[in-house]
Amino acid sequence: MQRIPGGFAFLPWPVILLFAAPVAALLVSFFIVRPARPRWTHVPILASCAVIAACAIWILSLVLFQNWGLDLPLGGWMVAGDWLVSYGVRVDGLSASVLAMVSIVGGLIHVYASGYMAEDPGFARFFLAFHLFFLAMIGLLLSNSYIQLYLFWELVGFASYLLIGFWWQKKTARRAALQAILTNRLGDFGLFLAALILLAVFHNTRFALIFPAIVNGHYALVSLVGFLLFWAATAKSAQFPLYFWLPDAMEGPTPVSALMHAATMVTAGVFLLARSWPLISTVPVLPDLIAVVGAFTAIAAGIVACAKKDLKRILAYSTVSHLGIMVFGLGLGEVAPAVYHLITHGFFKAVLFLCAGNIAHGLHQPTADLDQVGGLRKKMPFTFVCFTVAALSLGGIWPFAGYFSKDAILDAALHRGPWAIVAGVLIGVTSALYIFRMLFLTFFGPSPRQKGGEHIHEAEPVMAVPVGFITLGTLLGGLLGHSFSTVIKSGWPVAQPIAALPEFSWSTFAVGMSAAAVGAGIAWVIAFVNPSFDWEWRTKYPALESALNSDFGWKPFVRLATAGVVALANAAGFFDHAVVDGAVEGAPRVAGAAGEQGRRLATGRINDYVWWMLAGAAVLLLAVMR
Amino acid sequence: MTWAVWAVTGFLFACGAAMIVLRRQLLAMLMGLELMISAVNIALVYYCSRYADGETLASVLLIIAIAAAEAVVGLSLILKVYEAGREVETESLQELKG
Amino acid sequence: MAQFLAQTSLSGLAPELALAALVCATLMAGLPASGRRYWKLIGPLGALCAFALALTTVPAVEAPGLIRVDGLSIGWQLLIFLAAVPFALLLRGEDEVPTALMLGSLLGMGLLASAGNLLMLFIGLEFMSLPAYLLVARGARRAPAREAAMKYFFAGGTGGSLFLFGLALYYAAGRTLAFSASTGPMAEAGLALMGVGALFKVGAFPFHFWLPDVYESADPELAGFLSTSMKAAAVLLLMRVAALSPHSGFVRCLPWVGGVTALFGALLALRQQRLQRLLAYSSISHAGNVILGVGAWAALGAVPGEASSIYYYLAAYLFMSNGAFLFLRQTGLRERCEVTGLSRRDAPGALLFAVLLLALGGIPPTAGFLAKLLIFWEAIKAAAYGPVILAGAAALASLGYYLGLVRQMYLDEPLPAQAAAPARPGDRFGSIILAACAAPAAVLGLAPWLIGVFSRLLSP
Repeated sequence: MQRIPGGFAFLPWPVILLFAAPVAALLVSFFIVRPARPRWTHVPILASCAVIAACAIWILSLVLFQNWGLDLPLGGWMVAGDWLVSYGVRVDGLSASVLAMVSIVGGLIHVYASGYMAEDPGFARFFLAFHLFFLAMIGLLLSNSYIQLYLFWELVGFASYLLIGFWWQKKTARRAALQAILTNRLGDFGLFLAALILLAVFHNTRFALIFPAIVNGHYALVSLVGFLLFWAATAKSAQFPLYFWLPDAMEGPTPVSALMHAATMVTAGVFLLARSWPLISTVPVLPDLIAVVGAFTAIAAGIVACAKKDLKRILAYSTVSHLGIMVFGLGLGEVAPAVYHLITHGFFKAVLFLCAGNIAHGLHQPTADLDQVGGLRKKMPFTFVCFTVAALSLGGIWPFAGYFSKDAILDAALHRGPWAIVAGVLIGVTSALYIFRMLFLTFFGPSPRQKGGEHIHEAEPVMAVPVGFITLGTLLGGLLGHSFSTVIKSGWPVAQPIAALPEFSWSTFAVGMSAAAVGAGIAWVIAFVNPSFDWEWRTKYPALESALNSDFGWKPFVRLATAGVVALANAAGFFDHAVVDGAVEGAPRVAGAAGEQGRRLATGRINDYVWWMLAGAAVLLLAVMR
Repeated sequence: MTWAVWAVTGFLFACGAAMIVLRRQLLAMLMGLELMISAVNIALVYYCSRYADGETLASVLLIIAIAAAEAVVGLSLILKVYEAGREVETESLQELKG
Repeated sequence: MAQFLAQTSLSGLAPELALAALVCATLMAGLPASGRRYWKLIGPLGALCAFALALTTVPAVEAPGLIRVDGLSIGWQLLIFLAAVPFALLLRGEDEVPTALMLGSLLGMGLLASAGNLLMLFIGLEFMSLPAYLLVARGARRAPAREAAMKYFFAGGTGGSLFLFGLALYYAAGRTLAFSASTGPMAEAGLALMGVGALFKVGAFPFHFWLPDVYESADPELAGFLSTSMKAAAVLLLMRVAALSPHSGFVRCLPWVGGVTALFGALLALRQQRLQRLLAYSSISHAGNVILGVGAWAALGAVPGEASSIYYYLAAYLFMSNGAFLFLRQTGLRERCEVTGLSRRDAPGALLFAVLLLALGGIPPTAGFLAKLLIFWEAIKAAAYGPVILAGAAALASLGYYLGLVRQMYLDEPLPAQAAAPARPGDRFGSIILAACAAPAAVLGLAPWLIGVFSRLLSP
């Protein structure tokens, strides 16, 4: 049994606080504050968010300026011989940068939620579940082995279940929560199997030990592991074919959608792929498969987003699409651009969701529809400004942050081949199209079909200010590209480093901007030139609308597949009940009957007893003499 | 010669066993028991003369003594059954069964 | 003669000599009316004295050829004498005869344990059985006791005769009565018949028919004595026989006999309505496990130090069986239906009985579990897979009645007639001994280090 060097004494204060603060806040809130004053449950939690953000930024600066890193096993969890499952902490460029985004955006969304959920009776429960998720996300990012990552992966999924089904009185919310966790379960199975295979092959699952071994050696099962990891990422990061839970997850409150289903939880899958890149890059066909799936998801989701009317649904499909962009970038081999897009996406998508939340909150509804809004730029100017900035970023307009990250991926695509170029262009067009359609139809007009958001007013400061800060992040993110390249390379587990963000290139700039312009132009036409178009085509081409509504027929197919699985489960249940239970319950009856018959041997006559003895002796003799 | 001894021993032993199995009176069964032990004594005596083994001869004496003790115990048990007023037969001793 | 006497020292037989002296003293001193209550002490005193003497005995070969005191011998004597203590303490008798009979039986068992040749084995076998027949006949319930004693006598007599026949055959083949390995068809047959004699005493199928009748009609404490002391002695007899020739056909058959016996006993116990008879069949089942262990031990070379698993099983069974029978004595329960809802009428008693039942059933962490585990382990080492499967099935089936009784006590409502029944008629002293048996049964399973202790004890 190997003794693990290291221990808590070697952990620096910021890292300890990153775990200690949320745990302490959760315990205090749950046991002390909530029973006493439920309305103050968020206070320890907000304090914890502040501590977390400060520590994350501190750690990021250490990584950036001092090239600091940490991979520390803290103790053996399950040890047998040289098999080792340990728990520990890993801080490198990848985790530090994503952690910084998560902590800043997350902390601000916590503040936003204290205003958004103020009138909700489940206020305390919300904050506890929300912060539990936060803790799990931090744990996931700082894990140093696959098993530990799986633990937090599951915890994040569980928190998602709690929060999607937060308004559990609504049947749709319950079903959405169940769908989310079951679909994620399907993917989690892949991650678990991958971790177990790695454990069996290498006898431990620590990144620092496995990746160098994989790169230097050749192992048969590593290909399978790669595919399984991609399968897990497909479920968590909502790629085809397991994306369908994400649009329905909008049943949860807006802060949940903003933090979990836009900025952080869904990016865990991309994070997993980025973490595992040394492994995945050695598998022959896998990166290409990843790129194809990512591109396909991005384009298809983008097209569907153009046809949705619920504000949060549009953003949900947009999230799916942008996750597809990240996955597409990864598949092309560009880890740095994909992770950069993950970070910038976190900022601008959060802003978009929070603005949609402001609109819905202003209408005193859980969510808003394009029918109910229109011309809001006069009534909600602050929200309008923030939304526009984020929309420009999403559309990939220079000089906003989104441009730089999308540009990097587009750059890689342009060098790959015709299909990648086509994909890249289509992605650019569709994302610009749906976001500008949403921008124009919501804040300009109103068109004759819209109600124009009567009685709506601007959001209160506790909800507006966090949005503003995140918007600042969206603006400034573009400037940090160079620093990001330095950070992401720090602590890469294998000797072969990853490429930095590409340099500025005029051709990429041209292609990107023109695609965005095309998309924006089409949106302009839809919104201003023919204001009723968005409603008319639905009545003129109902087949097209139903096709788009059912995600090109994928949703009915999933329903069919689920029904098939349920039938299979029923058959298995019948077998269990009839055969297995029957055997188990029948055995005592058989034994008892045998016993009853056996009793008749003992007649009570001595002669019979002795006869049995002699006969037995004879039989034994025969057996022995054989 | 050996086979003859074993034939006699076996025959007597089988007779004794048959008496226990087939007879109903307890006294007859006791006799059968004694017969079985005595049959074995015959074989032992033959062999200790063949192997010139005096120790075994002493053992035969001990075995006879033990058989006698056993007979005593058996008779006292049969007597107890008789005293209880029951027939000294196996049919009357069939209450315990199953 | 003088040389023989000069060579002979009987120090190895100290326990037996003490017992013999006590038997004589008991019988000859008669029964002065004033000293009546002191007779109750002689029995346990004798057993404990023998136990103590056995502890101090050093392995030796005495009266060359006749007596051999080795590690197995000392160990088994300890077991036998300790197992007799509860019976000795709770012996019911109007006069001194039961005490003398018990001490005499213990003497016989001691001789059997110290036997140095085949004849001594036979002498020990008969010596320990004859007093037992008489003890059974003196039961509180007259008619069944006599009937059972009669059956015991005839079955025992037949078994002894078969043993003797086997002895003659083995002697003919080996030319000596000492423990020796002989081969050839006559030796094999002889060994098999001697084994039959031993198997009868242990209570293996199909030589077991006397056992349920005897255990059912005897006084419960006597049944406890028979199932522990007598059975341990019988197991030792079987071990000595099997060790004569570890590669014989008999030893090959022995695990199967054990497995079949275990399963047979368990199945037949399922539908028993009378508690003592149920415990009798359970005793048969446990004996089957031990026979399986003996078969495995012999197949692996019959090394004395490796018999620790058998020893542990018998030690655990000592407490479990004595405790179970004592419980029946204390509460006066006879039928299975009387047990229903006992936990409400007599909570401490029900708890003790439940602990004993769980130990008998082999539920961890009781001693019974570790005991079964060790035996099965040895059997698998000896590649006796079929018998282990049978014994495993038997263990499973046995849970049907052990846990069934526990369920009856705890989960079923007492019948109206019983709810008004008086509490235990037993005495405090008996309850203490009952608890003293139940505690080790529960706790010994947590002491696997005892195996090492037993191993060292049993090696010469």
